[in-house]
Amino acid sequence: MTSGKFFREDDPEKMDMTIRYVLLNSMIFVGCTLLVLFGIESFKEQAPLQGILDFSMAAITLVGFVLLRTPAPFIWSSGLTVLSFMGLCAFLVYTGGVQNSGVLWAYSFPLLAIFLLGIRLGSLLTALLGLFLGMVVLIPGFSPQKYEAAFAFRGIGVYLLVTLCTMVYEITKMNKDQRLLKLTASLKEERDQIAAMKDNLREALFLLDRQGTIQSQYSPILETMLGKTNLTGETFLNLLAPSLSAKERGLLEDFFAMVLEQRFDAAMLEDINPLKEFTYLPPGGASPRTLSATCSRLQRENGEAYLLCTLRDLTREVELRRQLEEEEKKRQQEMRALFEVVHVDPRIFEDFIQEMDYQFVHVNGALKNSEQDNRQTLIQVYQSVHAVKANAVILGLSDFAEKLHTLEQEIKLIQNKEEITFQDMLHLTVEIEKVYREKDTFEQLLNRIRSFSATSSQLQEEQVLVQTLERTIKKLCHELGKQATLSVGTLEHGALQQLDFRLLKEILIQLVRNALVHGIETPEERQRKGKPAAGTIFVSLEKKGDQLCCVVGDDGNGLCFERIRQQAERRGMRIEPSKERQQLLQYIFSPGFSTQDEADLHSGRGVGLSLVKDRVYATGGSIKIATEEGKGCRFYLYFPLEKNHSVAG
Amino acid sequence: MEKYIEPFVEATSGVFTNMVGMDIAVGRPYICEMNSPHAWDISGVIGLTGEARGAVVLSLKQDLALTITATLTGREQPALNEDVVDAVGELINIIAGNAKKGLEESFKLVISLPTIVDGPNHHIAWPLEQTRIICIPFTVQGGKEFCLSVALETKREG
Repeated sequence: MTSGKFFREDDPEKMDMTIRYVLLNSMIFVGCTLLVLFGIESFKEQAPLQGILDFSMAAITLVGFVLLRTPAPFIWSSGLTVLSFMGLCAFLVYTGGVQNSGVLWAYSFPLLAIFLLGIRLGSLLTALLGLFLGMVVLIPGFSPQKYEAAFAFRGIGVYLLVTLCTMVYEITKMNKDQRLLKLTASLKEERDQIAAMKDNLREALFLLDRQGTIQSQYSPILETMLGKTNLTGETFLNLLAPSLSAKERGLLEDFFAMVLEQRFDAAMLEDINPLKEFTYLPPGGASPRTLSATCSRLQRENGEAYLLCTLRDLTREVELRRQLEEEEKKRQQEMRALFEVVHVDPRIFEDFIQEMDYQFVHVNGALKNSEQDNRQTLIQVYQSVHAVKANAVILGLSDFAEKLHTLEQEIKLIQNKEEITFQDMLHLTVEIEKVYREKDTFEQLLNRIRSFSATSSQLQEEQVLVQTLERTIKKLCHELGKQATLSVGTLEHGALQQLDFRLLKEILIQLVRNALVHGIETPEERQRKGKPAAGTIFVSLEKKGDQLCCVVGDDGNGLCFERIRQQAERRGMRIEPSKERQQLLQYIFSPGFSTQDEADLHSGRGVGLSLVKDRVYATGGSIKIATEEGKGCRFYLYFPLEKNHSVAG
Repeated sequence: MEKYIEPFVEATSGVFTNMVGMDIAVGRPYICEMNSPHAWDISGVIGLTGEARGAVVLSLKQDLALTITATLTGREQPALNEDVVDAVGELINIIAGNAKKGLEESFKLVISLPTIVDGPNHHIAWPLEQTRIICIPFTVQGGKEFCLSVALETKREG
């Protein structure tokens, strides 16, 4: 009926045009049929002129019918139809038609003309036909028919009335259309603005009904945030389900119910909002996001209560915040490190850095040595890290010591594995490299401090050694709740020159630590035994023939063979009663031996004595122990004088 | 940081096994000074930027480079020439390409096209302030060695 034409749904003139098409079509159909019937009748009544006119009118109408189905403008086809109909009406009016009914046809013309051609053109044609009608009925002799005056005036009157009515109707309709058009336009504008706001907000807006289903008009950004498309009809809680524990889910359900209930204060609801900041796991395993949601109650006009929710993506903010916190933490650590370093004498600090350099060369050598298996390497790395840690503790670099302690624990973890993989070793290397970087920072700090105190007196090696040992004792006593003093015996300067200073210091520190941790008793226990509350640790170094003899002793409890034996047995060592002492003395130098049950920052893990043994043996030296239960213990270290530089690198 | 290094190690092992057809064993990583003298003759440098910044360098000695070239092109070369550089460049290209797949998907990283540096004790200008690199030694059949060196700076620890 619309001649195969389709109109866009949102076209405000759609209804109007549809009606026009339908009307024109039916008019053409009815008109054409009538014209053909009239034509046949005219021929039968021997009126060929009228018949031909009828047929040609029908043909013109048919052209209009065809035109209507082409892309030609509507006005062509309607104009043609209206004009042909106008011609027909004029002819009928002129000839009078059957029983003078021709005039009646003219009455339908204004309706059709104005409706199909619009108010202007339609009125013009209507006026023309009206003029012609007036002339026919009023001027005698103008047409073959004769009309009486009374009929003529009534005829013209009715015609005018019909025209007027049609025009009033059309104008009213046009006004209404225009109003509607304006209204639609302003509504559309409003909708566009709202949509633009909704679509471009960085927060997602959406409505949930009582059941918690997402309503259709949600912000498109919601799909991006939740990592899912077509959210209409989805249950919001189900979308969050993978990110929530059962308890949280229950909490959230209660919260939604509370928001819907309207009884609660908005500020209070905001306080208990469980979605203030939560981690959302998008479907499909994308990386988690940090989101923040707020909900409020919304009463719609249909009386239904909805939840108006906003969702904000905080991922970037949280990430930035985390980075800032990390930076701040790092800065604070550096400040603390600086303060810790400032308290240390630059000479001693430099010594510490040299010691670290030495140990790191050692570590690297162990890593690089492809002849050696991973376990052996780990033991060496561990010893070096432990030695650096001991020094860091003495100097009071607690943060650094803590890091080294963590590294030790990581090494221990790897050591405890059945199989050591490449990944383990790579991880360890990366961690060691991080510690190296820390050393770089210390070095820079040292340089900065040096530039401040360039004139500070240079300490002699003996003083460095004694100060370091005193610091070790002071620090450890404080940590362990013990009391002890250092007693330095002969400290031959010449002997010190002939031995690798770093090596000696390392060994002495380990032995002093060992004496304090395991030998010296607590003040109470000492007093019970009739000893002075403060223990004494004795150190001496002198040349004896072609050997250097270094002695470290204490007046503590001596070695407790019973405890050593227990531990050795726990570790599955077989002890022969005849060689018990010898075996146990060897055992305390093996890696992993420690009578302390748990390792802490200061001792344990049993690395100390094994390190001493490795270092002394590496120079070709030997160790002797003298111990008496309850009285104390003495370590005698002998270094051959010729070979003592073999490990100095 | 390991997570950025491992893809390169895997890609290297994969490419040597599947393309060059050599048995390969990865050794224990160690740390070395960035500009210390070395014995390598040819190196391919792959740059990284994004959440980690730095470079990954694959260094070979001449004899291994020649063996690889012969295997890949089917022609023996007498010395380090353009063909050898091309062949090694191609090899490193493939390694970088394979590592890229794993890296660019999981991390915010961009990997550059590799460049080749050659000559005895050639100098590599590492794009970082730090002075140490992590070296991962590889041994291929016949005991020949090569080395994958890494220096990276991460924006985020983890």
